[in-house]
Amino acid sequence: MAWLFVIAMAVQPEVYAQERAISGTVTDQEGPIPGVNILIKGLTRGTVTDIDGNYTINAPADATLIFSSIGYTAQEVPVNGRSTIDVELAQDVQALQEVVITGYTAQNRRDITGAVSVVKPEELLATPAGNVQQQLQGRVAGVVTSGTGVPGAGAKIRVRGFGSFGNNDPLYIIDGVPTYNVNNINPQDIESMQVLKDASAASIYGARAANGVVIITTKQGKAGVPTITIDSYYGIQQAPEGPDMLNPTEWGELTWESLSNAGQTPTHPQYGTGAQPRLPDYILAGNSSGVMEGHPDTDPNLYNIDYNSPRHQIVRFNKEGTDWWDETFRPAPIQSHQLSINGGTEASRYSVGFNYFDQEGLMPHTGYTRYTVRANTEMKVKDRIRIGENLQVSYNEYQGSNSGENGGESFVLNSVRLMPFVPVYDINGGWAGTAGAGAGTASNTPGELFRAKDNRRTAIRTFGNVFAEIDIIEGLTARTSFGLDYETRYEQNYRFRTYERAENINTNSYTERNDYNLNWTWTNTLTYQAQFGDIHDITVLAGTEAVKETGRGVGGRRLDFFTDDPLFRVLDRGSPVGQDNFSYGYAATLASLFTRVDYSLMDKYLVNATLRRDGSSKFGAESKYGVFPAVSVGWRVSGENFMQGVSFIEELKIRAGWGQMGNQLNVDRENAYSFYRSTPGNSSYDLDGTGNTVVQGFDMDRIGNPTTQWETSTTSNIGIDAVLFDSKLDVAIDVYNRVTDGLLLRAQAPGTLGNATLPFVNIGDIRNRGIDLMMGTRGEIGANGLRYDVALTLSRYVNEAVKVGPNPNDIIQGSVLRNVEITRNTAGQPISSFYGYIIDGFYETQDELDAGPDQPQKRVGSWRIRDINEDGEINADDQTYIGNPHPDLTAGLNLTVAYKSFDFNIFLYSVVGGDLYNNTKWWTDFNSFQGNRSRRMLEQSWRPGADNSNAVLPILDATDTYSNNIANTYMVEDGSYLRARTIQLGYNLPDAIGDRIGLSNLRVYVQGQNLFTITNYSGVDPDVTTLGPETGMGIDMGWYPNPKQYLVGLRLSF
Amino acid sequence: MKRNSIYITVLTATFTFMAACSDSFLEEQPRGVFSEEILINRQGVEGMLVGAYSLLDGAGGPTNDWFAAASNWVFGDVTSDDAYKGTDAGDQIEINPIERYEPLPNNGYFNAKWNHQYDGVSRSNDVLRLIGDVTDINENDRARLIAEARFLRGYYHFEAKRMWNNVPYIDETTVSFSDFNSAKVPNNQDIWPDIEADLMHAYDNLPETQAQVGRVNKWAAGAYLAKAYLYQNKFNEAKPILDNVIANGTTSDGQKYALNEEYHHNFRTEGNNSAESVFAVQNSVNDGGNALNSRQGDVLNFTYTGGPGGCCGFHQPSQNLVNAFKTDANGLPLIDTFNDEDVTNDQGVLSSQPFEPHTGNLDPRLDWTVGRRGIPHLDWGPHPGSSWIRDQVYAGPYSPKKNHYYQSEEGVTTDGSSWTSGYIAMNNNLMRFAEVILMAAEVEVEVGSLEKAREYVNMIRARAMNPDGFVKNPDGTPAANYVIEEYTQPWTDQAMARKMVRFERRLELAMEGHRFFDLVRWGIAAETLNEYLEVESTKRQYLIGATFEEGVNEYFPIPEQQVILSSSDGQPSLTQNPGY
Repeated sequence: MAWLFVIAMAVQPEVYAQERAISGTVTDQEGPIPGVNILIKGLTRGTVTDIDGNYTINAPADATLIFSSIGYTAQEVPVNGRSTIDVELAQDVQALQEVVITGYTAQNRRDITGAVSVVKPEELLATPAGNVQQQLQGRVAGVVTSGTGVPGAGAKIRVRGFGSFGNNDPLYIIDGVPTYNVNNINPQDIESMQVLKDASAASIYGARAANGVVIITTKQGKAGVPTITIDSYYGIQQAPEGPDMLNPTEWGELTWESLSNAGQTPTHPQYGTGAQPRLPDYILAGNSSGVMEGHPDTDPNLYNIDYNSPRHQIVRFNKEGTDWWDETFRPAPIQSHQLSINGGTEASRYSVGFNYFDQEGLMPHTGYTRYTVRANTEMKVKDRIRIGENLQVSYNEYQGSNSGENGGESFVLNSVRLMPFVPVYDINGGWAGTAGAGAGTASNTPGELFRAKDNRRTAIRTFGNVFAEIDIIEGLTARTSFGLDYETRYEQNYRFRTYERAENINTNSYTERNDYNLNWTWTNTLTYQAQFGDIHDITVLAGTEAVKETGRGVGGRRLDFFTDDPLFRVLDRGSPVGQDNFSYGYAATLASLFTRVDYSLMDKYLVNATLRRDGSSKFGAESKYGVFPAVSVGWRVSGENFMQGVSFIEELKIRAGWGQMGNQLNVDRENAYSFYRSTPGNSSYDLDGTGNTVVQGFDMDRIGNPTTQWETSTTSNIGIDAVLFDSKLDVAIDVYNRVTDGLLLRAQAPGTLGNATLPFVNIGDIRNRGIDLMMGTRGEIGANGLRYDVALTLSRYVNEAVKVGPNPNDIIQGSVLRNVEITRNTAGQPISSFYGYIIDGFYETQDELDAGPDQPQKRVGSWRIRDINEDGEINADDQTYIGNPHPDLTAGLNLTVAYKSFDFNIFLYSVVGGDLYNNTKWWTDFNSFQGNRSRRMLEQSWRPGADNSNAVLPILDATDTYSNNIANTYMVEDGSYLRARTIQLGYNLPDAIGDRIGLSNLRVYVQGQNLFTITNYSGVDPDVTTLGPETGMGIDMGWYPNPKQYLVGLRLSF
Repeated sequence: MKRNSIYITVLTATFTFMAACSDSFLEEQPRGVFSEEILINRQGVEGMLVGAYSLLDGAGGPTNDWFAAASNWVFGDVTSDDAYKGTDAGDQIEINPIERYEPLPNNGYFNAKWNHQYDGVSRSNDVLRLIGDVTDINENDRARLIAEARFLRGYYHFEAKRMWNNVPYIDETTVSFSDFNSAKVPNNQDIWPDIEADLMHAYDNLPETQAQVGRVNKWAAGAYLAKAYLYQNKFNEAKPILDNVIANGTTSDGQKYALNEEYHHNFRTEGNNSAESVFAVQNSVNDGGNALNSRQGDVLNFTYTGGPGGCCGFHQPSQNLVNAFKTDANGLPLIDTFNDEDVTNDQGVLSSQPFEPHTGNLDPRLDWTVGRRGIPHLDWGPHPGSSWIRDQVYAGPYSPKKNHYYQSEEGVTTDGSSWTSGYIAMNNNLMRFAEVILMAAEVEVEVGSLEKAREYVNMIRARAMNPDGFVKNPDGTPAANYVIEEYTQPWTDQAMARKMVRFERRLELAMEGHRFFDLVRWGIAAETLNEYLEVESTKRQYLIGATFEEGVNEYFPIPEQQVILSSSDGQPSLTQNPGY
C-alpha cells in the first residue's frame, strides 16, 4: 500500500498562467483566525492563513476562493480581479454541527438519533499511555474502564454494563477496518473517535455490535501548506506504596503468639525454640538452616552454587528486614515522540506520522517499546473518482518477564509475601531465596526479573485499507474498501535453573513460538443522498461486507541447555529428550448485507433505520444467519416555532431508539462441530511400559451444536441533547435498557456426559439498565481573559443476570482461587457476585461460644459466622451474596482553566460504590502459605483480654485452617475511590513570538498522573473493578499497580 | 451515461457475487482434529481405547495435577489413620476439611475426582459405542477391545462407587450427545451388579497375555472382580477367582505372578511391570506430553526442600502409622498396643541439633514407607529431619517415601518440562500381587480357613524379612533395628486372625491409597478413626475437635456442582449422600 503514498507525494502542483497574487486577512468577530484553509475552487491548490490570519495565494482573476475552518461556516468568495480580499468568517454557533463518522457514513452530529459519544483526541492524549483503552477512562459516559500499570498493556473497556458472561470487548472500526485489538495502534494518530453505545447507532455492525462499537479515524491529510508537528513527552513513573508488612522481629512475634495460642511450643527453623523467638545470623549455610555465626557450615570457603556439584549456599538472615516491594519496583521512564506531517492540495492530500513510544516497566528489566509509521493519502484521480489508503505499520517489543501482567500469583504478590528476613543476595552476590527452612515459597522477585531480562515478545502489525469512491450520479456514491490486518508475533522465553529456592527448578528450558493472524475485510457501499427543497433530506446506504480471519502458530521447547548464555538460545542446542513442539491453525468468516436510511423532515423530525443480515462461519447450518434491525427517531424541539421565544435554548433534541445487535465473540470458531483429538498429554498412554514414549490415542474433544445462535442485545434508548445559554452549556442524557437474550454460555452437563468441551448454547439472559450523562460548560470569567472549560461524565448501570441456565437455581461458578470459591453468577444477582459467609464479630467468651452454632474450628476469638438458615450449624448453606464489583456510579470530571498563555487542566476519575474482594489479604492476613504477614494481622487480630474494638481478624492461631478457607465479608471492601488521573499545567508561546521564529504553535507542559487517590480501600490500587474474567471480576489478586507519573511535554508545529 | 452504466454493472455484479458466494464462504472446518467417521475403524477404536487407558494416571481429562491422583493419597490415606495432608496449613487448603471429616459438597476435590472417573467411563464407552460399526477387524481383536473397554469402565465406576456409594452407572447406550439430559442419571440404584458384570466380562474374555504390557489381562480383571466382591463381603464368590489368579496368574507380558524378592522393588521405576505388578498405571516422562503422563498425582508428595522432587511436603505419614511398624521380641506387630508408645521422632528438633533415631524393634518395611530423620533416604543421604519438612509443627516429622525416586535417576526418570522434577515415570501399582494374596487371606479368614490365611500372611512377611531388602547404612549395616518374623503359632481365633490379616494389609500397603476404603468396607472406620483422632490430635493440634461421624463420613459428599448440573426443571436427579 505504501506505493500510494509515494504517488501522492510525487503529485506536482499544477501551474497556471495568468494568475495574480491575492492576499488578505481572515478574521472573526474577535480578531484574526490562523489556520484557515483557502482553496481555489475547481483547482487542487490552496494555502492556509498564518498566525495573524494573513494569507497570500496565486489565483486566476476569475477564480473563486473557498475559506474554511473548523468551527466556522465556510465561505465562497469570487476574486473578481481583486488583489486584496479580507474575509470575516461567521462562527458556526452550533456546537453539534461537526460531522462525525458513524456506521459506514458521516453524519452531522446534530442529526444523530442514537446514543453516540464523541471523544476529543486531545482528551485522550492527556493520558500518557501506550494505547487508547487506557486513555478512555472517565472520558465517555457509559464506558467503564479498568487497567493495570503493565507497560504497553491494554485496559478492559465495557460499554453500558456487561451483556455477556464471556468477552464483552467492544468492536473497534479503525478507518473502516474492524478489529478487537487496539493495543498497538498509536493514539497520537487518532483524529476522531466515536463510541456507538446503543443499537440505533451500532446495529449497522450487526453481529459484532452488541458490546458497543468504537469508531476511530486516523489523521487525514488536509489541503494547504504542509505542517510539521512534533509532539513529545518524557516522564518518570513510580509505583504506589506497597502494603504495610512486618519486619523480621515482628514476624517472629506474630509466629510465636500464633503457635502459643494453638497450644504448641513455639518453634521455627529460623527463630529456634523457646519462650522468645531469636534471630539467627544465617538463614542457610549448606544444609543447615537458622544458624548462628561460628557454625562450621558458615565458612565462606565452602560456598558453592554451581549446578554440577553439591551445593553449599550461604545466606545471611536480614535482621533489619528486606523491603521486597522497594526491591521489586523502581522509578521507570516513559516517553513518546511523534512527528506528523500533513498537507496536500484539493486533489491529493497526505498525512504521515512517525512515533516512538517507550515505557519501561516499574519492575526492572521489563518494558515495552513501539515504533509506528502511519501514511494516509487520498487522491482525486478523475472528476468523480477518488482513491486512497490508510496504512499503519507498528513494531512492538515487550522486554523481560511477563509475569505480573495477569494478576494471580505474580511478582506483585511475590513482593508482598516474600519473607522479610530473606536478603536479596547471598554472601557472595548470588540470589538469596527460600532455600533455608521456614522461608516460604515466594521466589526472589529481583532475581526472577533479572533472569528473564533477555526474554522477548515482539509483534509486527500492518493495519490499513485501500479504498475507491465513485460519484455515479449527483448524490449517488459507490465506495469499495479493502482492509487488511496482519500481525505476526514472536516469543522467546528462557527458563533458568534455580539454586536458591526451597522448590528449585532443576532443568533449564527454552521456548520459542511464532504465530500470525491475517484478517481481511472487504466492504462495498452505495450511498444516495438527496435534498428536496428544505423539507426532505434523505440518505440511503446499502452495502455488503465480507470478513475473513485466519491464523497459524508454531512453537517448540527444548530442555537441558549446556549453558545459559543468551547466544545459545536456539532450540536445537537443547537436548532432544523431552522436546515438545506444536502448531495450530484457524479460520472464520463473516458475510453481511446491510442498509441504512436517514431521513430528516424540515430539519426537525429525524428518522433513522438500519438493517443488517450477517452470516457467520461460527454457527451451524441451521442458524448461520442473523438479522439485526434498529430504528430511531429524533425531534428537534428547538426547531419548532413555539420554542423560538425560549432564548436560553439553542438546541434541544429528544431522541428515542430501539434495536437489536448481536455478539459472536463468545462462540468458538468450531462451535458447530463434534470431533476427536489426539494429544500426547490428554489422550495418549505408555501401553508399552517404556517410561518415556506414548502410544497415540484419541479422545472426544468437542461436542458441537448446529443450532447455536447469536447473542442478541435489544436496547431501548431515550436521550436528550441540549445546547443552552449561548453555547455555554452542552448536555446529553441517555437512559437505556439493554437486554441480552440467548446469552451464549458453554453448555453445562453433568460429569457423566464425559469431558468433551461442550458447545456454547443460548441459555442465559442479562439485563443492564442505566443512565449516561455528559455535561460540558465553557466560557469566560469576567473580561480579563480567564477562560474555563468543564466536562462531566456520569455513568450508572444496574446489571442483573436474569437467567443463567435452564433451571432457576443454576449457577455459573466464577473465580475459584486456591480452592476458595469467591464469585457466583445466578439469576437475580449481578454477574460476578461475591458469594460467601457473613462475619458478625467474634466469639468473645466461652459462654457465647457454647451458645453459638456449630462452626468448624471455633474457639474464643474466632469469627462469629452468621448462621443464615439458623439450623445450628455453619455449613455451605450459610453462604450468601456478600457484594459485587459493579459501581453505583462512575464519574469523570475534566476541568480546564486558561489565562493568557497559561492553562491548567485537572481530570478526576471516580468510582462510587462498587465492592472489591481483596484477595491479597488471603496471602498476608492468615495462615495461608508461609510468607510475610500484614501489620493488620499483628495489630488487629482478636486478643484475649485486650481491647478488641479494632479487631478485624480472628485470634492468631497457627492451626486455624478455617478462616482462610471460606469466602467472607472481611475480604469484601468498598472499592470507591477518587483519583486525580491527570493534572497538567501548560504554556503556549504567544502568537507574536511564535510568528517571529517561524512557529505556528509551541506548547510546553508539565503533568502528573495519578498524583493522588482518595479511598478507604486497603489494597494497593483500587482500579481493579472489572479486571479478571467476566464471571469473576473485582477480585484484587495483586494486580500490577497503576503508576504515578511525572511528565514534561512539548508540542510544536510549523 | 455510458460510463454510469459501466459503474452500475460492476456494482451489481459485485453485490450479486457477495450474496451468492456466501454459503461456501461461510464454511470453515476446524483444523487438526478428527471427525468420528475417520475413527470408525480398527486403528480408530484402538486409539480410543488408548485414550481410555490414559486416564488411569488421574490426569489429562477434566483435571490435571493431583485432584484425581491415581494413588488416592487424599481420599485413601489423608482421610485415614495413615497420613496427614502434610506441608503447611495454607497449601491445598481444601484438603483440610476432608482430613477433619468436615467436607463440604462444594469442595473442588470431589468434583474433580467425579468428573475424572466419569470421563474414564465415557472414554471406555466411546470404544463400545463405535466398535459395532467397525468392519476392518478380526473377531479376536474385537472381543479383546470390548473386554478391555469393559474392564476400564468397571474400574472407573468402582472408584466412584467406593468414594460416594450412591453413584450412577453409565453404559455406552445411556448418553446421547445430542441430548445432555440423557446424562442426568439418578444415583438411586446400587451399581455393584453393573461393575461386577463389566469385570466379569473382562475376566471371561480377556487373553491371559497381551502384546503390550500396559494392557489389562484376564488375571488383572479377575483380581479386580474379586476386590469388588470383597467390598460386598461376597467371600465365597471371591475365593475361586483369587485361587485361580494366585495359582495361574501372569502379568500381561507373561511373567508368573510372584512377590518381588525385595519389597522396595515395587517402589522403583526400574521395578515397573515386575512379576508383582498385576495392574499398574504406566507412567512416562519426557514423552512430549508436558509431564501429563507422569505420576503427577503425587507431584506434591516429596520432601519440601533438598531431597527428591523439591515440592512440597504433602502426604506426610502419621505417627500412628509409624508406630504400627513396631514389632515385639518375636518380630510380630503389636496389634492392640502399638500406639501406646511413640516411635522416637525428631519433632521439635532442628536439623542442626543432634538426634538419635528410634532403637526399638521395627518392621523393615517402615523405612521404605516413611522418610524419617537419620535413615538413608534412597541415595539422597540420611533424611535430615526438619529441614526437609515444610512445617514440622503443623504436620509432623515424617516424609512419604514410596513415590520417591533416586538421585541417580534425576533427569532420566523425571520430567524436565515443568516447575519441579517430581513428575516421574514410576508406575502407580493399582494392584500388586501382594494385595491379591492379602485379599485371599481375608477371604480365607471369613470362610474359616484360618491356617490358609496364616500361610498367605506369612508369604508377605517372608518377603519383608529378606535382609537383602532392608534399608542399609553406607557401611552395609541395617539402618535400624529391624526385627520381623513370620506368624509361627497356628491361627485358631477367627476374630484375631481377621485383625492380623488386616494389620498386615495396613503395613504392606501403607501409603498406597487403600487404608480409608479398607476401614470403611470392614465397617470399622468410625471406631478406628475416632480412636486415632483422640490420640493424634494431641500431636497435631489442627485435628482437635475433629470427629468421624458414623453413617456419614464413610462416604464423601456428592459434588454440589454435579447435583446442580443433574437438574431438569429444577429437580436434581442426583440425591446428596446422607448427612451432607
